[in-house]
Amino acid sequence: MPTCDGEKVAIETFADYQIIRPPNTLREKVRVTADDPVARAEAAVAELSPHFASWMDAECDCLDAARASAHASGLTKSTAAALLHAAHDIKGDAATFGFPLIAEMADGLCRLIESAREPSQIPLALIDQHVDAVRAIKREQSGEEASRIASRLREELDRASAEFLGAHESAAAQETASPPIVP
Amino acid sequence: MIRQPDANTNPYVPIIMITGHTEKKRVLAARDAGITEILVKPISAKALYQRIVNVILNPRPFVRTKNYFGPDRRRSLNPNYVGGERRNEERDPLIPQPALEKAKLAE
Repeated sequence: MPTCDGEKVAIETFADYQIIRPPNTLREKVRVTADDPVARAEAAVAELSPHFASWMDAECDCLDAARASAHASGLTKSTAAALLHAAHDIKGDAATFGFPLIAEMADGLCRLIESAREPSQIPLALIDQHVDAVRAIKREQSGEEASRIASRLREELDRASAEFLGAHESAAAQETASPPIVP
Repeated sequence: MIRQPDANTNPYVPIIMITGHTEKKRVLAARDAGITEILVKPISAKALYQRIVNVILNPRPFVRTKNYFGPDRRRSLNPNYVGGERRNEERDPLIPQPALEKAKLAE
């Protein structure tokens, strides 16, 4: 009989599968406190927020460096992977850092690289336009006009990417958000 | 490699995966690799807290089939479901997990 943390695990066996119920040892280890852990976490994030703009700059620098490598060596497997890596980092972090429009732009670049059957065929000008757009949005930061222009830019870049991917028979990925806890 | 039924480490440890990969294909692959919960970036403290609470208060039983070992991927029973038994792996194979297959071969 298998065990978990020294306790027995209940197993029901059916024709071609088993249902296993391990003991809930975590519940016994949880300590209930009076304070609000979500508020405490949010306060900790708020304390870090003065660094967000410089962290965003550092990630933009990485993207720029990846772009420079792509220009120097062409879009090879490794330079395309470096670009995707840098864009993916920005896509994941920018909204947390307070730059949701940059996250969207980086998402567009990720999709372009990931959906292209042959990344080496992606026009470098299209890569440049995405990277420059990320930089421009970071520079202009906020304001209604800046947001409007950024959204328009995103639409235009998406259109240009779709045109390229359409011409190269891409396999566009279906996107999803966090699945709910209970569907 | 945590989700190996006979592993020395605790194979039932909850896994909350945080990822920037939003493609449905990748999320389904993670689910079929046996993760407990997934959060797509950007995440909030509240969303993470809810997942942690859910993992502790509502643990799902584990399922072991020929090709899957991990938390039950059915979070609720649908009384209106009229299709076949999808745990029949031959009729409804899982999304292939190259990393897991490789690990199994290496054992």
